[in-house]
Amino acid sequence: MLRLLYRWLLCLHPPYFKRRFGEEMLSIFDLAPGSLARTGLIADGSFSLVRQWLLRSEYWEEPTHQTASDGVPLFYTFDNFKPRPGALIDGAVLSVVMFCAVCLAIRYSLDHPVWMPFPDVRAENSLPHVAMRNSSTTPMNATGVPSANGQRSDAGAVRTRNTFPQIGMGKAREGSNPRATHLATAPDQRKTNSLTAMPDTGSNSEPAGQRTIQLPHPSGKYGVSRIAYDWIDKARRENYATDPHTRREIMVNVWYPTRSGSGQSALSEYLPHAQAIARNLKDVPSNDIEEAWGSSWTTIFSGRVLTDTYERKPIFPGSERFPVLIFSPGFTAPSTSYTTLIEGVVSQGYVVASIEPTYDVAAVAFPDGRVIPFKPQWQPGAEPPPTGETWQQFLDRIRAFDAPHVETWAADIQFVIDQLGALENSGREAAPFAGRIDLRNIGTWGHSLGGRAAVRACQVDSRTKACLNADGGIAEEAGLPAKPSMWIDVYHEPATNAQLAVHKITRKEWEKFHRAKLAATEQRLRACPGGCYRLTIKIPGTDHYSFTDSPVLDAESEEDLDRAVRSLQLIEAYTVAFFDKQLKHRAAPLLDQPTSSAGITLEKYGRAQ
Amino acid sequence: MKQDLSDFLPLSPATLHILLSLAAGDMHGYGIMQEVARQSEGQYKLGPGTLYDNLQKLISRKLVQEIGRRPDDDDSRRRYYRLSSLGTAVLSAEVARLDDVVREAKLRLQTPKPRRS
Repeated sequence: MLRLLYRWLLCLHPPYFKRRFGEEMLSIFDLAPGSLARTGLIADGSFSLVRQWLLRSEYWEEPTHQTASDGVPLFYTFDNFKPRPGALIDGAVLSVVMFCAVCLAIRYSLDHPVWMPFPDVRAENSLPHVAMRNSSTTPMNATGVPSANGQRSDAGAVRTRNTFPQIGMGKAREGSNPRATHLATAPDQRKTNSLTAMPDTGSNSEPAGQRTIQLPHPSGKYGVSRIAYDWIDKARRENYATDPHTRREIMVNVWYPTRSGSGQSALSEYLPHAQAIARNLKDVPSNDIEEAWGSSWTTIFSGRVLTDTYERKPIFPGSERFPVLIFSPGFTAPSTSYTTLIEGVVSQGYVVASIEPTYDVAAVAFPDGRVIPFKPQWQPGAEPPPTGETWQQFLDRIRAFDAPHVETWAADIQFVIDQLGALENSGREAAPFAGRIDLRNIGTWGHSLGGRAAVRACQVDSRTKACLNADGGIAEEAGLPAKPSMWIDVYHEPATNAQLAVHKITRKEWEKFHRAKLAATEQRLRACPGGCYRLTIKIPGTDHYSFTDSPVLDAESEEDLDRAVRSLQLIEAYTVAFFDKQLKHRAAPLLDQPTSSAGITLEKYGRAQ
Repeated sequence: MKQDLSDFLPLSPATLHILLSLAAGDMHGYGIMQEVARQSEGQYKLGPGTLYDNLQKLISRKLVQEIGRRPDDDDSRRRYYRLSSLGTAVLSAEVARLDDVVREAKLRLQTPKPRRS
């Protein structure tokens, strides 16, 4: 064995050296006593190999001393040159080594789009305007389009195809440089895009923003109605207000099942008081509005987004009591920007109370005409960080920013539960759902920062039964509730090179941080006292915004729209399955066995198993 | 052809030992290794890699000649090497140089003995 190795080492030597001394060296090897001496010789042979190749290039070939008799040097030609078998083996070994080295190196390439789940860092870190800041470029004329593929009648039986088109990885919508995308798209260019992308919609002559967009229709058997409340919590002061006597005031939309069909009621506005908000924004540059509200902002403010939600219709007749879900949106996003998802859930027999967290939402209008715009002085990632800030300090800064928001939002949720309880005995005029809500089965539900608030409220409020956190990550400082929980995580872009450069951290160090974070999350979920489900969606095009209406409103093509609708169907199906199991005590086949296919992974921890 | 011997000097330890071994007579590679070990009383061990690397150099600079195989050897793979006249001259020049070095060193090291007080 050792002899074979030694022979092989000798074979790898430069040809001239090998021919001249190879046999002799082997004969010396044969004389070596014992395997220790032989091992020494192998080491010696290895050194020799390196030395001969690296330092003795003048001896690689046989010295040619021949000169023709007349003094003219002879020239060699390479006719009929055939590499020796040894050279071929050398080449093969070298190629394999190089190939492996390159493969290993690819991982560390700066621009390689590593396909990596990133569930526990909220996207707001780099995207201050959740959901509404969606930089797709062409508002789509989708009138009637969802009727073709937006019928969500099959939402219960989710189809997960393997053939999702691998487009762009949502690059156009990623938050690292939305401004650039916005600026790059001139209005005339949009029109061209939409003409080419949507040749058959029939109303391409309309200017951008003058289109009417119909959101996908809900799938369930119930119709959907909505009523808005302006509630003031006398027990809490408003932290953002300068006057210490100002109390916390929030707008809450309560969505409840109704008889489907139009009846006498009017459809509700997609964005309540859109005109008042638009007036409030009249001095704001359109670029800033677009950044905050998405590229379909003109469509939204002009009331051209059509929903399936009616205004103040009577509740669905009967005596059935519907479980209650309190919904908190992502940071800066109005809760109405989740209309598709909320309608879908309500249509399957739930009452959803969605909160507009005043001052933290892009803008909210109150019934008396006041509009309160977004207030926070500082958003993580929105401004250049302090010079010399390390990655850890960056994370700490985000955490310090998030923690009080989570507490305020969780208190909002508890306050809404109080208010719903108080409405139980009021008349049908004040609350069409009075007497029909099941206050013993309350769930909290939220997206992004709202997801964390939902978990927090569920942990501290004994009236809640379960919570669902949609891509909000785990708040490191807070504990997990002793009740069933569900976590829906989607793919997140890794930190950008610019971010890494600002915080002077290498990609490798960042990955180390990231892995530690994933491991910590995993450990916490395992220890989750109430048991939990975690759904991880890694489907191209499904990202942090897939819970909102933005991908539908901003879809640039049929394909975009199709993916947006299917992501929403998938999310809705799992959301309903979870709450059906926890609040309606129904069988939930979707949750019963761990799935891992087509980019969807369902894991169960603790008592959920 | 007259060559300036100082081009070759000083010799590296390995070269010096190899030339010294061959000064005793024609020898094959393994013989040289054993001779080097004997000369240095086992303190300097020459591996085959280093040996043949040096032999390659010495042959190309014509200090050593390869005289091929010997029919009387047990191992037909062995080749014998011989010190050329140039090699002998270089070795002599090196020994003379070392001699000077040694003499100089001895002079320097004859320092007065420290007195006890």
